[in-house]
Amino acid sequence: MSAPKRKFWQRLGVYLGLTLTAAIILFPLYIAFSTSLKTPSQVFVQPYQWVPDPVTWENYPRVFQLVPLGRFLWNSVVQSTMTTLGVLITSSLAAYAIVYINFPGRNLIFGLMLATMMVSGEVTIIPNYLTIHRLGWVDTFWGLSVPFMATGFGIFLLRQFFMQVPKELYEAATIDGASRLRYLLTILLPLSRPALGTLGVYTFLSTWNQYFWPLIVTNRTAMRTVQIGIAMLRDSEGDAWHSIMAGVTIVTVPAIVVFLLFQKQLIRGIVGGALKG
Amino acid sequence: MSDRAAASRQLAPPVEGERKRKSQWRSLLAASGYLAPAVILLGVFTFYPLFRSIYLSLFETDFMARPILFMGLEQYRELLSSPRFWESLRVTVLFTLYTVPVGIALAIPVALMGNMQIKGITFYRTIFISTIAVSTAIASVIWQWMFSPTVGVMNDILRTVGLDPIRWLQDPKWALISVAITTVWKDLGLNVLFLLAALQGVPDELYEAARIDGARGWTLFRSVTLPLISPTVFFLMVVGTMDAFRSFTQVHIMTQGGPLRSTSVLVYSIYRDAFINFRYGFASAQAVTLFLILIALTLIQFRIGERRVHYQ
Amino acid sequence: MQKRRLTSLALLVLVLTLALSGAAMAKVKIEFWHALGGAIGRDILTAFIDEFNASQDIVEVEAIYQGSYDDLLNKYVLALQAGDPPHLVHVYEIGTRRMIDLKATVPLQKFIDREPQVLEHLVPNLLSYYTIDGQLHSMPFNSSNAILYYNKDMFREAGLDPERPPRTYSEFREYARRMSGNGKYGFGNYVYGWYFEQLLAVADAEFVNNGNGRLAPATAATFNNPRGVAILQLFKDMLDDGSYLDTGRDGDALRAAFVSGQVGMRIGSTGGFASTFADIGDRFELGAAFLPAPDDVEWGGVVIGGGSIWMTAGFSEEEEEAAWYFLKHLVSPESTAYWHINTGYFPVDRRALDLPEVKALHQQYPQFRVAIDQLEASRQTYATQGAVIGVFPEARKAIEEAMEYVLLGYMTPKEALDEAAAEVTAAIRRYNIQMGLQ
Repeated sequence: MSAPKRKFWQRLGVYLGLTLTAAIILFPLYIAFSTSLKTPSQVFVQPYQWVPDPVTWENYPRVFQLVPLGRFLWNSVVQSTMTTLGVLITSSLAAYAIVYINFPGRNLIFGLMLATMMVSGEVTIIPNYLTIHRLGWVDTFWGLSVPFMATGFGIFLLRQFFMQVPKELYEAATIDGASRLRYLLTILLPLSRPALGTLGVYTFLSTWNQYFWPLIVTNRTAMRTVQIGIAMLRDSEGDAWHSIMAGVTIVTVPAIVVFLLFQKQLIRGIVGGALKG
Repeated sequence: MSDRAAASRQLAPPVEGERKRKSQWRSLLAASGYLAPAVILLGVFTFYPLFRSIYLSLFETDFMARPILFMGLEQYRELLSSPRFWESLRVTVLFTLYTVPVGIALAIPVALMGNMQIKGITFYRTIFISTIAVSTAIASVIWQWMFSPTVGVMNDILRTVGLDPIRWLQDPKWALISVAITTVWKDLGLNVLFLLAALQGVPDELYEAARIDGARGWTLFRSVTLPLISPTVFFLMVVGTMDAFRSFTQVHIMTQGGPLRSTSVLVYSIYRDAFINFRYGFASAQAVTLFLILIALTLIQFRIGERRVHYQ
Repeated sequence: MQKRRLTSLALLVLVLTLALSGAAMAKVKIEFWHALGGAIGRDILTAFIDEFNASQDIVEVEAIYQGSYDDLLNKYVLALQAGDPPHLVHVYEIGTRRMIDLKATVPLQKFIDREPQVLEHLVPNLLSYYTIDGQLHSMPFNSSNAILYYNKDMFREAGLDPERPPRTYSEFREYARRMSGNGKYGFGNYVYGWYFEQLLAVADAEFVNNGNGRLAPATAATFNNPRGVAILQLFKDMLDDGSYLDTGRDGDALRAAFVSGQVGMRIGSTGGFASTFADIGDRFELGAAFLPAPDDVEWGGVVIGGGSIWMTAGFSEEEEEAAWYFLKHLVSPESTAYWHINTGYFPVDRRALDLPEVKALHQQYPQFRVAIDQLEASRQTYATQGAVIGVFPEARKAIEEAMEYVLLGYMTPKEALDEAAAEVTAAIRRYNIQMGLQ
């Protein structure tokens, strides 16, 4: 076999591998989407109908009719954005202090912060609800987001990243007379865009995915979030899979969009970042 | 953590006695400004509930989760002597093994593929990370539908290729694996994202140098790539273990702990005792035990892990 | 007597309020938390509430979905603690004992004593479920019970008379065997404790002691009696016959199997009638029948399932009266007819059966009628009144595990139920101590 020919086959193999992997990963999402295009009776057809025939779109308007998803989507966007901003601010400040300031009890503080990751959310719900109630934050965006504005995860993640930034940068900057805060704001944070982006996307999506807390801390339908909307589609007398899958699609698409918007930042940020230099 | 401490010691200016104490105070003061927001929030919304749980775990509680009868360590004694607890612990450990090491091992080749510098790779990369947008609840609903014993697509595939259908969520031998498959799929996006970020941080020159030394394929991966992404792998291990130990949603939606308790992970039983059975004190004792287990596990991971991890 | 004077005073206040309300007074706002998801919660309940609000100037009800029954109960307990509960709360039937012990609600008996005529036409089986220690605690709302659904086409194919469904365990087993084969199963079932409770009542056996917890708080589980064992034995025998499709804990999978014609008979809730008809479409003809009983037992009856509505204590007289006004509307013949027609839940008021729209429905779909007949045919015993225990959710879970042990072949029915009973007895003891019931 000639070299260019071998190269062609090699390349074809690579793309086949990529495509196959992508297909496996997308498969469940395809199943969810295609089910949302079925009528109730098509859902129960045996053998399984891989491609809905005929395709019906009526489940989508139906879902919006069943649940005020528009309002829920907005609430989720606000809650997730507030939480994400909060986490980015508190984590970068705390991680910065832990990595760059040699204060007594540093390891203890970091250890305690890590320990918060080991507390299971189930036990925090009741005391936190009562705290939020005392603050008068039931049915507000504050109640939805403030308890999650600092996380051990965020601090841990940024600490790992800050530690990979060469220390010489800090030394050079402080010798030049830059204050600690200025170094953080003008040098370290811009350098950390990829890590901040990763943390931001992670926080946004995990807030987006909350169910129990928003249910507990909101009483009015107008303050509800999307995952509760999905639960509202479930019926105690038997599930309508086609409607649920339409709801699943509606709720997942904005999450994918957020991820697509930030994805360039995430990955290109790293490629072009100063880490290599 | 030892090399970290060494690195920071280099940063601190050499000082003696009184001056040292003074500068320590000053550094503490400086640090507290940065730490305050996180410390206050974590204190109010995590540590306070944690201490509350520790306190409640010493009591029998009423429906309102208020202490009514002091029991000392009785709840813990009951817990540790209950075969169910040990069974749950075993299930949780198995679930962690099925999801964390396996999940990361699967994510590494996918991330390596996504890191290839070829045309159209951004498209594939996007797909590889896409499950990050799917919530655990939604992943569970989708897979539960796919695993349906009667109209599910998974068994349709098996039948098409001539295999016997599997009772995915109904067979105690398969149920935990099925829940694990769901979790691995759901977590793949996140794992790949972090690994890609790490891979792209590996300087090309290092690869060049290793290639000149004759390293190829597996050797190249073992000697260059893996060490350089090890902080990320370590991070994913630690965080993944904590997440796996605290998993609940998948089980709640897909199996309710069955069949035959084969999927009754610890947090599911905490949930049942706290929110279905209204035994808040007992649930608190379980939560505190879980907390202690996780602390121990993480300490072990840091002991073993951070020594092997290479920070640049 | 003083009580009565107070309430008449309250009535006077209410009347005055009403008189004034035409001009300036706002309607009394009542918050109602419920657990109805899906189309029932959205379309059917919303339309009902909207119509009610528009029809009068006294009460404005706000109905809010608060998650599943379990979620809702938790939210309610938390809201009580925070001092911010709703006026009305929707609780599943197995939460009854717990709600009483919570001591946070007004027993509706208070209003019944004043207006006994409200209950005059309500179905007695429904009332007896929610009447404990001589007091009606909550208002029956979405009430259902289990019924045997069957596929008449599959009956015909197997040479069975579709108009003569099985009445006894042995007939049931035989029918199922004849419909099985070629990937089809005569009977399909999922692991769900409620069905066991229903079959136990049909066999006229009690779930716990002390008159199913109605004479005095129960102290021990008794469902491991021979009748209980016979139920699991029947399931196991049918599984061995190859005529029992077990879908594990997946109720949706069972529904899919039945609707797609894989399964000839299933047990299901009458509350799912309307949706079952919709799912089946014109695939086959649906039959409905009484649940089967053991061969040697006189058919006992079924227990009410579903939910009822409780009124939180501590609101003003005016708000209580407004909430009561809504509850009365909820059980009017017209309202219950509406619920019955749109879901399959029982018409709580018997007069609903004489309404033309209900008659028309029963003419067209006699299956709806079977559910009502089954309830009316139920004898009134402690067994069919249903158990009241605080640890019902745990008991249901224990039964479900016992079912799994039997179906997967790890234990005999007797062993499995003995173990479950021991567990439930321990839970009851603990609960009674916790509540000071002993």
